[in-house]
Amino acid sequence: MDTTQLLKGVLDAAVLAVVEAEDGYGYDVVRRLRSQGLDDVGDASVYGTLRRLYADGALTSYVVPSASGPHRKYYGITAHGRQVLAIQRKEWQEFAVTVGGVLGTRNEAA
Amino acid sequence: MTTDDTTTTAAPGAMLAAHVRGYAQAVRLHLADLGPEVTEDLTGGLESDLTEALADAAPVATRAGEPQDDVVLDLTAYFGTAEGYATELRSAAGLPPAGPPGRRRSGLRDEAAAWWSGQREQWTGLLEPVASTRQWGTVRDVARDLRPVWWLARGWLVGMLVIAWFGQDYVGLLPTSGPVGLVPTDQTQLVVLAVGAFVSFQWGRGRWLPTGWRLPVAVATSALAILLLPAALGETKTQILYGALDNDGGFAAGYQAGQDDARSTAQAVSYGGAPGDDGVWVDGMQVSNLFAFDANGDPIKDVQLYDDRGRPVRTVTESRATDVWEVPQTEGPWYFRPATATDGRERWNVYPLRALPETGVEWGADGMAPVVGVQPQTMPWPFLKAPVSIEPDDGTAPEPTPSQEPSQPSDDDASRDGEPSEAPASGTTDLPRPGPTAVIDASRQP
Repeated sequence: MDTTQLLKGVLDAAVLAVVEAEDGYGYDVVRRLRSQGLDDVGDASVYGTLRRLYADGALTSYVVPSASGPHRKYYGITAHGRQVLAIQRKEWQEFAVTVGGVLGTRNEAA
Repeated sequence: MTTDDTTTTAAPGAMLAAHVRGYAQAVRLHLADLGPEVTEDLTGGLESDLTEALADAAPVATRAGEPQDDVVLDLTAYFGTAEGYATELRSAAGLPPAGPPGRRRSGLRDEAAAWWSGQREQWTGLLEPVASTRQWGTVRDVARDLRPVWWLARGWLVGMLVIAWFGQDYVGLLPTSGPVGLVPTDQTQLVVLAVGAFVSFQWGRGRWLPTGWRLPVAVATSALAILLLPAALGETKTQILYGALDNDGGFAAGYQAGQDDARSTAQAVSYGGAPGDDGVWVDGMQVSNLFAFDANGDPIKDVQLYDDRGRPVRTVTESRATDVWEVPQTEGPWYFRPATATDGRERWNVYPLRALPETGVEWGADGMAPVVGVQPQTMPWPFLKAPVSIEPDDGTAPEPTPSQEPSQPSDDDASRDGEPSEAPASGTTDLPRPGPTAVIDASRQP
C-alpha cells in the first residue's frame, strides 16, 4: 500500500509531535520523522507543513545563529499547537481502532 | 553526521553549494506567483536544508557504488524536479497550485491576461440583460454566418493598404488623402485585392496558418481593416461624388484626371478633355489653333507642323473634328476645317486653321458638310506682328517674308506632288522621313 497517501492525513500530527518532543529546524524535523520509521516522508512536504502550522499559530519560530554556515530557523510548539495535537492524537487513535476493527486482525504476512 | 565528508575538499564543496543554490532558485521561481513574502517563508533556509539532506544521503549513494561527485551534483536524483519540489511545498503548505503546466506566463503577460479577463467579465455583466434575450441569439447567429463575408472584406481592405503603400508616389500609413478606394482602378489592383481577400478568407477558415498564429493574426488583420474602413469609405465617397465611376472615360480615366489635377499647381481649364488626351496643350489648357510668325515677327500662313517624330501636329483631333470650338475675339462657336493637300487629302496640321461658323454647316446622312457657298474663314491672329524678332544665326538682318509665301523651302516642292522637302528654310539638312504632300491653300478648296 502506498503509505504516502496515509501519511498525508497524519503528517500534521506527526510534525507537531516531533516538534513537541524537541524544537527543531526544517531538515532536522525531516530527519527525526525518518529515523522514527516514516521513510517515505518528503522534504518539501515537511517544510510546507511546518510553514502552514506556523501560519495557523500551532508553531512558533525563532532563528538560532550558527557558527558554521547560515542561521537556522527553529520551530517550537505553541499552546494552540498542543491543543491541536491533543485533538489529532485522540482522533487518530479512535480512527485507528475503528479501521482496525473493520480490517480485522488477521496477519496477511503470516 | 557526515557533513565533513563533503567539505574536506574545497572544489566539490563549492560546486555543491553552487548546485544547491541553483536548485533552490529554481524552486523559488516556481513559487514566484505567491509573492516574495510567502516564497521566503516556504524556502527560507532551503539551501541549508538541501545541503544537509545531501550530506545525509551521499554516503548511501557511495555505498551503492556510484561516483560521489556525479550523485552529489545531480540534485534532481534526490529531490525530484524543482517544479515537483515546489508543488509539494505548495500543497503541504495549503497553498493553491500554480497555473496549468506549460502555460506559465511572464509577469507582463500575466497582468495583460488578468486585465483582459477582468474587462471581459465586466462587459459580459453589462451586456447580460441584452445578451440573454432570444433576439440577441439570432443576431449572434447571423453574425456568425456572416463571418466569411468579413474575412473577404478585411482582406480587400488590407489589400488596399498594400496598394497605397507600394503603388503610389508617396508612402503613408494614413491613406486619408491617398487614392485608396474600395474599387480597384486597374487589373493589377484588382489582382492584389482579390488575392488579399482570398488569403484572408483562408486564414479565417484556419488554413494556411500555424495553429498558434491563428488568433493573433485574425485579431491583427481585423483591427487593421477596421482602422482602414473609414478612410476607404471616405475616399470612395469622394470618387463617387466626382462622378469618376460612371463617366465615359471609365473610372481609370477619371482617376487619372484627378491625380493629374491634384499634382499640377495650375488648375487645368479644359474644353472637355484632359492633359494627356489627343491634341495640343499649353499650360494645361487645350489649344484650338496655332499661329506662326517668322523671324521678323511677321505672320506666316499655311505652315505645316510636325513634331520631332514626324507626326503631324493636330490641335483638332479626328474625334473632335465635328465639335464646335470657342475662339477668342470672335462671336459664336466655330467648326475648324482642315487644309486640303494636292492629292485631295485633308491636312489638319496646316496652320492657322480656318473655320466655318456654326450656321455655315449642315448635317446630312454623311455627317457635317459646309453649306454651299460658304467658305472657311481665317481666324483672327493674336498679334499683327509677333512681340519679338529673332536674330538669325548668320548675323544678317532677316529678310521680310511675304505672307503669301510663308516659310517656302528653297526647293519648289509644291509642284512635286508628295516629294519630300529637302530642307526647311532654316537650312537643316537631315529630315527624319519623307515629308508629306504639298498643300493647297485651304481657302481655295471647294
